[in-house]
This record gives sequence, structure tokens and C-alpha cells, in this order.
Amino acid sequence: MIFSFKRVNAIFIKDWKDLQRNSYILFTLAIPLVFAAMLGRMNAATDVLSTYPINLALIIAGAFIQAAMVAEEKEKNTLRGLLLSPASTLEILIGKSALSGLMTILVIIGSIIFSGYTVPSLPLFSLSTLLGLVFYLATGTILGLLSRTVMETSIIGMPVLIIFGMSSMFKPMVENATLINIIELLPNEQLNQIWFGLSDGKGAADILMNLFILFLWVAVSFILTIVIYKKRRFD
Amino acid sequence: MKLLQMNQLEKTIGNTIIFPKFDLTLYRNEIVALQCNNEVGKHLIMMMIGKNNISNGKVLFEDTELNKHFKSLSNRIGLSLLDDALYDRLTPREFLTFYKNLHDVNIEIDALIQKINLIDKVNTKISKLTFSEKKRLHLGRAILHQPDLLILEEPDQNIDIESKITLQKVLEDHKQQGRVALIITNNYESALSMTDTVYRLNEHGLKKIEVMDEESSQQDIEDEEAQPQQDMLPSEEVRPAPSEKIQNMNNPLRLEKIPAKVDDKIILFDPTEIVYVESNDGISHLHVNGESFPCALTLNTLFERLHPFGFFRCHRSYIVNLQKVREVITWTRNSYSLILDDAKKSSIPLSKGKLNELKEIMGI
Repeated sequence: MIFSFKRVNAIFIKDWKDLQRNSYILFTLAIPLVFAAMLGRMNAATDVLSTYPINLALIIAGAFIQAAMVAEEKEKNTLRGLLLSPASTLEILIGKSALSGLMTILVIIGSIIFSGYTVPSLPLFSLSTLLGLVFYLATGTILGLLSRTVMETSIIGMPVLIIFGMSSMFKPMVENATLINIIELLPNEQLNQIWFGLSDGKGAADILMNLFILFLWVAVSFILTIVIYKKRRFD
Repeated sequence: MKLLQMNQLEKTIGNTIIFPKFDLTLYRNEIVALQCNNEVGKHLIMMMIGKNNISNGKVLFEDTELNKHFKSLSNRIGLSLLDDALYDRLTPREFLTFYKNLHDVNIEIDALIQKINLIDKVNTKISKLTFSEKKRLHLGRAILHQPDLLILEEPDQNIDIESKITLQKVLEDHKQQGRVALIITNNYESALSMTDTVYRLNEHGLKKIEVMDEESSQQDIEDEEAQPQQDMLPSEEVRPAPSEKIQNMNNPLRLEKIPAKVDDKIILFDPTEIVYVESNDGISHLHVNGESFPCALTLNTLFERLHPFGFFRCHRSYIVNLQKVREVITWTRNSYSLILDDAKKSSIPLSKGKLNELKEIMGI
């Protein structure tokens, strides 16, 4: 069956209409914004905290919303109907990713405004954020594929939230050098390093290594998504 | 013209036979009902859409193997399963528009909504619809892309009468357009009310259930009508059965109770207790107070004995106690049902040919 943008679009619009009335997703989307507003008022512009709202927006809006949307189709048994229609799984996942991607970008913009973060070098900032976004969407898809209900996504999403969301906060507390090295390789840390670097006036050449590591994360998450999708039949 | 063929289809799990090999061909302009239990029906549908393995045989849609190419044929097949779900937060219009875009067809959503009788609920959230309205929405989704083959699983289970009428109209329309519908149901009565082509599928195989067609039923009526004119005995009944009267006189000791055998006991029922009698697999079942009791007598014998008590042969496989009939429903021009006044509000089919006779008895 040929890939059809019309069907992707149909799924996008359907999920958009559904999302507007889905209080779970609306509240989840509001969390990063509230955090951003709080941090902005606190004026606690330490390095870690200034970029924290953006990282949180990526993980909550990107990964959790995507996971919830995929898992809800399974939980409510609506997936069967979709799979028996001409829509392919790829089209379904892309339609959903497009919506959660868009929502994430909106939430990131909102977070930046609320927290009063000054964006350094827009093109490079956007590029790095976009790479991060793709990684988190893939992670969200994996969570969605692994869980059967929306409830389960929060449970198996917890480790993801702690590792990718909180590790920057824990870093100052950790003394083990190996552990710090590992933490610094995580995508959220890479993003932080890129953004701090850009704020310090560094150019594209200086953050190339970070971008490369981020790209590796994206590639790994993509491959993992495909493997898990193949192993666990969507239905 | 052949649309769907099942050749030597068989399903076994381990050593258990779900159903043995059978052949079934569906032609255009046909509505076929398969009466089988839920498990058999599920397996059959899952085999057709390629979700379960086929133990043996083939399912051909025109000349393609349906189970292997379901996705590419999905634009030509409409499916409504028992456990289908809807998007609770969408409205019926949004839901149908979504599927319209998925199928990429150009249809009038409003006309479809009119057809499934949801016009006043069009902007209500699906979660607020009643069960029957949801079932109608499922039906709408299944027929939305005007599929050549419509597969419905238990389409009339638990739905209200309004929805049944809608369903019948949709099916009639579907058939008129030269399309095919396959109805899979557990309920023999609902199978009969939707079509005249009924098969039973179980672990013993596929069996066609003979349903009296119009001509032969008309013939029966004429035969019956010819008889009473010869000896017009005065009688309480609107339609006297002379042969019975004579028998009664010859055999005054005849038992008026109807025996049914349950385990080791024989229960004797008063004819007036019986709501209706159904013949199923060659055995008559007496329906009394919502329960069913097998009876050794054939339907013909039973009818002879029950006729004086106001019973009526409304269908080849049914005898009904006219006192218990509450409603006569006309689904379409060719299909009728009797709704009974018992606890379950049972609905039993009425042959077209018997309608006039019934009208005559009731004096309409």
C-alpha cells in the first residue's frame, strides 16, 4: 500500500480534535508551562535551571503525550478499526508524531516565553531542539508500544522521566567520575551543553561533537523503535 | 457473480475442531447469515481478515486470497465487529469524517448520518450516545465507503427496535446495489429476520437452514384454505381445522397437555402456558416463561394439537401463541417479526406468505 499524506492528515486532525477534549493530555501539557512560569518568577537563573523548562517540555510533551496517544488507541480498542482501514501503522504513527511534535514545539515556545529564557543563535538552537524532539518522540512511541494502557505509560515512563528529565539536577550530587561521564552523555545533558555553549557565544564548530552525540541518540532510538515495533505486533 | 468464496475452509486448534471443511460461495445481491456460536464466528472473521491462521482451505475475494491481501482490499470491505470501539471524545460527524478521509472516498456525511438515523445526535460526544446509537454509528462506519462485501458480527444484539429497522433498511439498500452482506450471529431468530439465506456453522460443519420461500408458503395457505370450505363446522376459532375436529371426536381421551422431556422427567405443559415453539435442528423447543424445553413431538404434530388453542404457524420453524403476540413489526416489504409479550420481549420471524393469513385471523 502506498504511503498517503491524506491519511496521515486524517489521523492528525482526528487526534487534534480528540486532544482538545482530553483532560489528561491538556493537564500534562500544562505542567512544563507552569514549571517555566515558576522558574521565571523565581529568577533563579542558575545554569541548570534556566534550560530546565525546555528539557521538561521536550520530555513531557514529546515523549509522554506521544506514548499516551499510542497507548490509548490500544486501551480503548480503537486500534483494531484503524488497522482494518486502509491506514498503515506507519501512517498512524507518523500522524500521531506530527501532532505531538507540533504540541511540543508550542509548549517549548510557551516555556521560553514564561521562563524568560533568552534564545542564543536561533538556527543552531532550533536544530539542536529539533534533534532532541525527534529523540523524545521515538522514546514516546517506544513507551506507547510497550504499554497496553495510558496508566502503564506513566509507570514505565517514570524511569525515563528520572533519567532524561532529572539527571541534570542530580549531577552536582554525584561524586563517582564514571557516573558523571555517563550522565554527561545523555541527550538532555548534550542539549544543555549545546545551549550553554551557544549562550557563551560559541559557534557551530564548537558544538559539533555534541550534535553528533545527539544524532547518535536519535539513530539508536529510531532503531530501537523499529525493533520493538517488529517484536510486539502493534495490535 | 461470485464475490466471496470459501473453499474447503477448516479451523482446528490442537486436536479440537472449531469447524470442519466447508464450501460457501457468496454471490452479488445476496445477504447471507451464518448462525454459529461466538467462538466459531470470531475464528471465521479473524481468518478472513488474516489475523488468525487458516488451518486448511482458502478464502477468495473475487480471485485474490482475502486473508493475505486484506489491507489492499480494505477499501472494498466493510467490517463491524462485536467488540469494535469508538473514539469517546469525538462526535459522530467527526468520527465518520475521519473514516471518510482514511478511505479517501467522496460521500455526503450528512446523507450517511441520515441513513443511520443519528441526525439529532450529530454533534453529541460519542460517549454520551446510547448503546443502540453507538451500534448504528458502527454500522455507518462499516458502510461508509460503500464496500462490496459487508461483514457484520452480531449487528442486532441488544439494540432497540428503531435501530433494527434502520439496520434492515441499510441491509436492503446494500443488497439492492448489488453488494453482498455476510451476517455472523449467534441468534437464530435475528439471522432469520435479516435474510432468507441462513446457514448454521458448528463443529459438525456447515448446514443450510431451509427457509420456506414465498411460493411454497403461498401454496400451503391455499391448500389449507381449500379444505375448510368443504365442511364448515361452526367453531370458536376464526380458522377451523377440520381434520383435528374429527380426530378429537374419534379420540376423546386425547391428552391436552404437551409433554416435554427434561433429563429423566417428563413435564406436562398447559398449551396456554407455551409462548412459542421453535424447531431447531429437527427438535421442537417449547418456550415457557423464558425457558426452553425440548419436546419429542414434531412441529407438525404440535401444531395440530395446539391449533385449537389459538396457536399460529407463523414460520416454517415457528408456532406462536397468538394470545402472547404484542406487536407485528414490518422491517421492510419482505420481512416481518412478531414481538411477544413475555419477559424477554422475544422477537420471532413471520414469513411473508403468512402475513395475510395472520391479518385475516386478527381481523385487520
